[in-house]
Amino acid sequence: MKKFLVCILCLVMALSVVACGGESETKSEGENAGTAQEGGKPSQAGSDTVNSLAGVTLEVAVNYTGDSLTAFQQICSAFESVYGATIVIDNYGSDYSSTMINRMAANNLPDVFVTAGWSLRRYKDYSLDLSDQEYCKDYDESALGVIQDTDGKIYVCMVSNGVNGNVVNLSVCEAAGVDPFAITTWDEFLDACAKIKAAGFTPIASNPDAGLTSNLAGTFLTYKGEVANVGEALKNGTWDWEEYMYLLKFYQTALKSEYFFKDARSINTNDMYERMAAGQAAFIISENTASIATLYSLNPNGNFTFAPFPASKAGGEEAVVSGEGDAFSIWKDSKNIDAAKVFLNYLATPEVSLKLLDATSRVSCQKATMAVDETPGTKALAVMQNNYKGHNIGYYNIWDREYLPSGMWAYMGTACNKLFADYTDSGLRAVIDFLRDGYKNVYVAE
Amino acid sequence: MQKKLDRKYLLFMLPAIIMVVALRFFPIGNALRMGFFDWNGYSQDMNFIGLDNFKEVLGDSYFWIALRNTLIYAFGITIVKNILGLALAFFVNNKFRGRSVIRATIYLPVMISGFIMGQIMYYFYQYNGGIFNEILIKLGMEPVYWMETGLGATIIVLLTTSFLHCGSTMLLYLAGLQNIPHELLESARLDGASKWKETLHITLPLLQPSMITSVVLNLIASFKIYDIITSLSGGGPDGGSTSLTLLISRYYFGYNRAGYAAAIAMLFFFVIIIISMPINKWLSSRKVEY
Amino acid sequence: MKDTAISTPKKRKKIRIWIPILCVIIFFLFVWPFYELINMSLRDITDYTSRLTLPEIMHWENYLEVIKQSDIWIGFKNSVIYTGATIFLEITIASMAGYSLSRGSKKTTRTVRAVQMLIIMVPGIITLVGTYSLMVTLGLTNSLIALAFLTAAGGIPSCSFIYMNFINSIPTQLDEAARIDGAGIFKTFFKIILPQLTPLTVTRAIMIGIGAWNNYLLPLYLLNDSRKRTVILVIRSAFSINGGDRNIAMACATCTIGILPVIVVYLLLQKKIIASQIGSAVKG
Repeated sequence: MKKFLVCILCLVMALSVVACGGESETKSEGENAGTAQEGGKPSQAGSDTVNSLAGVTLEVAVNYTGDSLTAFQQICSAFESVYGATIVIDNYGSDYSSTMINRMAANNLPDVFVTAGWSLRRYKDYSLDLSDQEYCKDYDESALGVIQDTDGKIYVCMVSNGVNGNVVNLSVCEAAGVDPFAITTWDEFLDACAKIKAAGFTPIASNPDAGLTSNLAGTFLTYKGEVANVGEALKNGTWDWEEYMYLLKFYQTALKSEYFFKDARSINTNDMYERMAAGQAAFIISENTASIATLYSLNPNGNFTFAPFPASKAGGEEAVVSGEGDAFSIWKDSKNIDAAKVFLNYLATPEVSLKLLDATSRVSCQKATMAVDETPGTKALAVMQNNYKGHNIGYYNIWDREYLPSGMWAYMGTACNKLFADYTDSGLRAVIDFLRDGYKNVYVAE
Repeated sequence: MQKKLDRKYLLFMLPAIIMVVALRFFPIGNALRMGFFDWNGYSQDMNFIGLDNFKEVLGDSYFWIALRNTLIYAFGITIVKNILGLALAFFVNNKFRGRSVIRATIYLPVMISGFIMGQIMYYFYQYNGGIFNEILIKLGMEPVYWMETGLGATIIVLLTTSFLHCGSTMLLYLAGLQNIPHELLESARLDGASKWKETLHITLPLLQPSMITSVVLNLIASFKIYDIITSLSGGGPDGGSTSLTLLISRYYFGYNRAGYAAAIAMLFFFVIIIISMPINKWLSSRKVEY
Repeated sequence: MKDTAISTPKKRKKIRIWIPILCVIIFFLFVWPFYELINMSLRDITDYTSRLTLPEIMHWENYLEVIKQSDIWIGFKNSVIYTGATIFLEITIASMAGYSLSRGSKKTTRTVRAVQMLIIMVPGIITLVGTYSLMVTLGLTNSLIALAFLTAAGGIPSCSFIYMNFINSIPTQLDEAARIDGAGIFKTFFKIILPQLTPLTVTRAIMIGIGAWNNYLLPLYLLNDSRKRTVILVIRSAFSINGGDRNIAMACATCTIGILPVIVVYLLLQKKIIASQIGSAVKG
């Protein structure tokens, strides 16, 4: 009963905080709206900022769930109350990409949509060029590398980067006497795993997922000083996937030494986080910064940190990959382009974007926001940079978005499942054959 | 007169015919056509590639695994459900207090979506912290990795589905049992037949119509199995417990290979024709309704 | 003679002792999954203690949270529309076809019967593959009514034959009498024949309704607008993980609330549902 009362009290307090926050926001939004309209709607006078969009309905498609969705909904309703527009949110969750593909087919896209990493390769032909917008002048270099087209055009309002690397459970490492910050290569990573295994923990909590076979592939195949350098061949479609064996050999060692959970093949992702949070495992390979927040919500007393992907050999480059995080495009045939532009400008303001980042745990990528960003994702990255001082870390675009054709992601996922099911030498061969065939299937010369 | 009336009656069937033609026959035809194209399901260009898709399907190990699993599911579930259903029907056919409660409880899971039941059952078979393994550990035994192999996962899905849905089979048999005239059993008992003999020689043969209905209905339903696999095993490990239905949706919606998915759908369709023909023939010769 | 007379009651008693024990076992086996669902729904997000026992602190507020969100209510609304439309379409069209099959020429009936099994056996996925891109082009995705048509088409073949069987047992004299009174074929069917079949219609409606309510495959791919999601899809999205958010307890609470209507309908109409299952089997 007491707990229940406490809960209610908390709820009331939270609500009042939100209400107050909303009020103070209104002012700053009013100011921003002025600049927004200069960018988006020069014809209209700047005086009627409030309710200037009354009667407009914006359809916004997102892939948020849970807390992120709640945060986004709150942002949208704040926008509604200021501008008088109505926002309809389509949250497609994990079916986002297939749904969007079909909406593209029907040439019926929402006014605003999350690009989920495909602003250039998939959605470019359907999106409005936003290069003239205010926020496009404010992008950090790391972001421009991801979203700027070869001709300089930018099609998204990107609020944040989705940053991907490994996740470490420091409590487990400590108990096993492993210093995770000393790991620079995948071989050292495997040595650490051996120690952790000997201490009675499971070294790696990951389950088979496309991230495992593609996000870190650059540290074997394309980055500076790695065992192979096949970036060119990948981009022009001539690569035969033979060098992919380096990556598969790494997993083969890990799987043969039983560094994964015995039931890794069939763990679902919820379960994986639960075990990691409960201190049963030390690493998750290829996770984004958001999972740190998830792990802390599952175990507030835990000690988790973000880590770069190790290099494939000594002297090679360790890597953190990042891609479009909370990034929004406008459908070029939208009937509400002006309103959509105002909405994106609104999202790009530091106050608003930080609220979103707080929930999604991604990392801000606009200079104005970065200056004041203290959200979990940025913190995780900052802590990582602090912990791994002296390491040679490269920051890259997410590997498949850079080197693989659209549609390859599903094959990478199946390949990972294949690998976990059969990691004998002939099994690895089969994975390579599978990937080569899939690559041929989806590669379209550009 | 009668002819005119017949035509009128035909008119009455028209909506049904239109619906079935437009939403069943047309899709099958369209899928057959799509099978000959290399198409991602949304772009404007469809490349005609003849039989290439079909050739590729026949060399696709995932297809053969899915086909094997579909047959295992269809026949396995039918067999297990009938055994369970029959046993439960015999049990519930006894007169005792609270039997309607038991009957209702057994039928309850049939009412709930397979997707949801699968989602719940996932937590029973988890290796780590799963309910079954927790019991095994409490009993001092080693935990079992239930979903280790594809075939194992297939059998688990099979058994789980059979268990959850055996209520419907039970009701079919219960109906059959209640239809057996009491006099027949009385007279057998007077002749000194034991309970066992009575069951074997009188009850079971009289249950034959129920059995046929049940087998046919279950075969039809189990060929379409989809919901429970997606949430219970996710089709894994490595596609080892995927059914053809699941495989088709994977290729179509996951890989965006609509043409290829359609080719698999067509091969699936032919498998169904091959299986449904003898059933159809046999049933019409026996004048049993289903 | 004497032997059997004495032994039978003894045997009977033996069986009687086993019945309550078996009853309890069966009851617990079948209720177990539901117990676990509720058990998990009452947990805190950080609680992963044994799922065999209830959590120490019951987090009933999980349910409050779910009810407060609009998702589940949107789901209920859409499921009701979709289920209602499916029932209406399937019953109307199938009963008409059943009447026609019963009263029309036997030749037609035989022809229809020949393809019936095939249609019944075709899985929904083949229909989906064949119609999906077309529905996308026509803008019929996200339409609950279009989905209801697609679902009803799958049920019509078997449903119309069930109606045929029942109509066969209604004497044709009734039709003739109506015709002599000047009633057309429409009036005869809807005013005279169909009311005779009300019990069948009710039980069919329940079964079709539950099938549509639980339908997963077609809504999953055809309803991608979150405002058009059915209950099952709302539950699915509660379980699905994207961007690292997860809350199994909340998902289980959503699930419990989502299946509540089915359970309530089942408990209220349990006798009817079971009787209809038995009845249709007997008829068959």
